Amino acid sequence: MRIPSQEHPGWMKAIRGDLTGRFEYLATKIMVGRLNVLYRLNPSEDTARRCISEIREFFVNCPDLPKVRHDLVVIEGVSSAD
Amino acid sequence: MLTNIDGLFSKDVVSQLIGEGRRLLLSGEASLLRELPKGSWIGGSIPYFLTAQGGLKTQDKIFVRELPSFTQSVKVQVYDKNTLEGVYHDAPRSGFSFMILPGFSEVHSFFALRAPELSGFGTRPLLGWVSGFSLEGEATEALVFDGTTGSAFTNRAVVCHVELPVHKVVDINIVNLFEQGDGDVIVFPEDGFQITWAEINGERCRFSDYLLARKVDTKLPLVSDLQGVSLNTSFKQVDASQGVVSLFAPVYQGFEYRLARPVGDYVAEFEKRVADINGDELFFSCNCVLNYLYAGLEGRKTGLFRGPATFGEIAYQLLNQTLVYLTIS
Repeated sequence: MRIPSQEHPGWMKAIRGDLTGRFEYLATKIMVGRLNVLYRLNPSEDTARRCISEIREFFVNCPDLPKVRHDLVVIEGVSSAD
Repeated sequence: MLTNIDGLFSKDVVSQLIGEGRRLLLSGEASLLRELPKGSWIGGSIPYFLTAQGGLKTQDKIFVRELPSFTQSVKVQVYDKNTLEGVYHDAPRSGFSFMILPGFSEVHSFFALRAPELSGFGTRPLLGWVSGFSLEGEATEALVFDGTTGSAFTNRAVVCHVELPVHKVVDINIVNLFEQGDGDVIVFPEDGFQITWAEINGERCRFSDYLLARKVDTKLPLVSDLQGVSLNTSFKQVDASQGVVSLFAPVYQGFEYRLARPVGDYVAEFEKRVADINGDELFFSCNCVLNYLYAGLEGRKTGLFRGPATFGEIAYQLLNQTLVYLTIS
């Protein structure tokens, strides 16, 4: 799977809980939901960096499953202008 | 169903299956599991089951689920709270990991609190259940078993890492009939199983006082919503004299909880929710013993969703009052 770079704006949208699409893979939902809470409690640049690193690492190491690919599309579907 | 052997069997029959070299996931009374021969199996203690004949409590039979015939390899590993960090790294590249935790143990508490922070969280399918005991009479110890060594543990997680062909698609999912009600937003100041204080709509109060003043039905869980997934935390006890509320799973700091909306008839609602699930791809499921008890599932059928009724369910993290299932396609 091709994983977007750390700078892709979709990661930040995911961390803030601002994505419009819905995730399908249960582990993605649990992980991103937890990171949403972490960021809401401490919305600093450092928190954002750590959360993005964690979620990106998750996708790097996930198996290549249809639901995982779908979730990446949800994140990648965000353009810089969003 | 993706299994050759599935259902309740006598200890003698299970011994025979193990002798034939079959690879088994077992659940049953601890005294029965202790007498089984060594072989390719893991198990956990529990006397409650959802079977083809309906919900059933039995201390005379063992529930058996045989791993699919296309299983390529099986590796059983035992973890304590210090080694559990490696569970995702030990998992096969293709397949799943099946974990049984002994209820009310230190490793159970550790996993409940820290599962989402384990290295590699969610990068391999991890499911399973929490072992227990009969809720009638005196409480006994919850046990897990590593059949490959014939060992029983009260404070270790036993995990069966199952390798499948790379073209197989494994998916873990849940059926949770509970969802957040329309009531107060409840936030807790720290993680834990034992709660004294909470913020209710932003106002700090003693949580036990809140529950008692409103005569809250504690058969209904607290529910958090993570990206559209409702995750339950069930009540164990409300101790008014000590001002402490005990839970079957931890709450997490900062998460927003609400009390669950009541469910009508569990079985009728359940049937609606599972109608679209392809039974041919179903390999394993377990449901919560609290659903078994509170929804009166004894003698009632839940279709193909058969397996142990457990003291906690695992779908990457600990869950309560939830059905967890695994499909392979």
